[in-house]
Amino acid sequence: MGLQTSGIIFIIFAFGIIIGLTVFSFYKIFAIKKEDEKSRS
Amino acid sequence: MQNKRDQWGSRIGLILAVAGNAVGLGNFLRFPVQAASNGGGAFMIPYFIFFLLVGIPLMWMEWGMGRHGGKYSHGSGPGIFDVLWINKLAKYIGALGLFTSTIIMVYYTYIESWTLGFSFFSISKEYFGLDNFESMKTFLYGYQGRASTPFFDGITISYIFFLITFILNFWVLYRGISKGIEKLAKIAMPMLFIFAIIIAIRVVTLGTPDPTHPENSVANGFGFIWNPDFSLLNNPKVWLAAAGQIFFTLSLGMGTIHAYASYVKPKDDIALSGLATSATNEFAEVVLGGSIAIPLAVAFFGIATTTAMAQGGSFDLGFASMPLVFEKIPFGQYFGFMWFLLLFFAGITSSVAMGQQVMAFMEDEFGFSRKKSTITLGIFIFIAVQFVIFFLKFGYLDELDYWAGTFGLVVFALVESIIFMWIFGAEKAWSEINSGADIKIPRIFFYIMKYITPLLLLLVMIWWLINDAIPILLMRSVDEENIPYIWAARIFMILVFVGFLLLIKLAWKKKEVNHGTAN
Repeated sequence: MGLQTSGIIFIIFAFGIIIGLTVFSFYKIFAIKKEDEKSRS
Repeated sequence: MQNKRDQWGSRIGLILAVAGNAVGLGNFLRFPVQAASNGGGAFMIPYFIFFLLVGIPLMWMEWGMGRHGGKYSHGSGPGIFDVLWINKLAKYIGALGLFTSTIIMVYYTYIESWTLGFSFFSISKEYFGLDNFESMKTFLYGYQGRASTPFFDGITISYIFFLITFILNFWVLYRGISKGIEKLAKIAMPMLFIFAIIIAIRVVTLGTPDPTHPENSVANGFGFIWNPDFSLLNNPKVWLAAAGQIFFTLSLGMGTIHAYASYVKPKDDIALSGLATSATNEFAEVVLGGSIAIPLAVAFFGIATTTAMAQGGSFDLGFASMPLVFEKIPFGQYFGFMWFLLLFFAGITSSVAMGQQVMAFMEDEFGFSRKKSTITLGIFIFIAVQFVIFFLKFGYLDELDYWAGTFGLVVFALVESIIFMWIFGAEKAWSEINSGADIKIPRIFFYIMKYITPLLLLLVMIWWLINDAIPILLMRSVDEENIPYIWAARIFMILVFVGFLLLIKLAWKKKEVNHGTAN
């Protein structure tokens, strides 16, 4: 059976969406936090 | 009399706590089984469609409802619905949220304690030496008290782990939002991710453990989950399985997210926080959950045996097949310890969320102190769990799980989406979600939330009603000897629901009297 090319494509598709979404949301949160701290100081 | 409401100490703490509520045993046990048996990689197509059309929209709605209720010092279903809908009925409909949370907490705390027990059995190599699936299942059933086995003398050990779990849960709840739940999330969630990443790395580097069986490999395990079978996409059951998985994994329809969001400051963002929560949960489920149990089982037992194990349910996969694998790998006791402890962390961060909603009800609507609400809920849960423990083998837990933990969730989600988007008003709901937002939610989600999410929830509910709820209600596949216990579970659930209705009536009557006195 093995891991077929189509399976690898789906792994990249699923992992890509989720890792992308996670990185995007946490990057935004930390960027806003940094900005807030900057404006306070 | 109103207590000053607690607040979250930090945004990261809040996100970790809500993500902790969402990340549960299902992320690591239910998801891989669902994916493997519903089209593999192709399952991810309906999965992501439902994530976009039901998961994220409902997540934002629940955050919105919760923060709105919090402005009026309400953190549970009855109070929040009463604010959203000026109608005498609204608060009683909110009892559904209290009902699902309470019932799920009753049995979930016990299941959670099994993971703690098995993490101890892993490090102490208690089950090492059992070399087949049947003997491992016997070990599990002996621990649970479902069968008399040579491994355990009754359920004493199981009960001790339950007591530890119970005390931990209520200690965290007693400490409150910022000092208890948030602190727990800040410790448990990073630990959970570290353990899961370590185990996932170990899995992908296993290759082919037994060269005499080249077909049993990690690559084949990933192929088993991820190779797409597009022909299954024609089957509506696959789409409903995806909808159900999205729904369960995000812990929607329980009122727990409302409770947590009610402690968010009125001007704080919920749009980005809701998205981050969903993303964190999906990371735990798809990236980590999809890379551990099934690939590991296939690498050691092959596809046919793994399929048979998975058909036995998520618990057989997690508690019977995984320990067998840990026996076979170097330092297996440490990997086993991490596996079960990460499940314990996933469990406890969810069960405290269930308790929090009920405690918010007592504190917000009756003016109970934290101590009084902890003791009241603690006594109730402790008594109620006894029936779950001692009637486990008679299907008592399964009955609670179906009506509260499966069907009840979709009913509550459908009702809340209608109340928020149609009765409170879609424009008001949209502006509530976007108030203070750190990201701009695309306008298309307004239409999804108003039309598509409730419609899909209605379809899922009707499908489940016809295919599952009616046969289960009629006890079509229940053994004769279990029928009294199934009835006991049903009577218990009815009593809990009616009890909440009476408490709501009492709370609002009390408030009217206090209001009248104040005037």
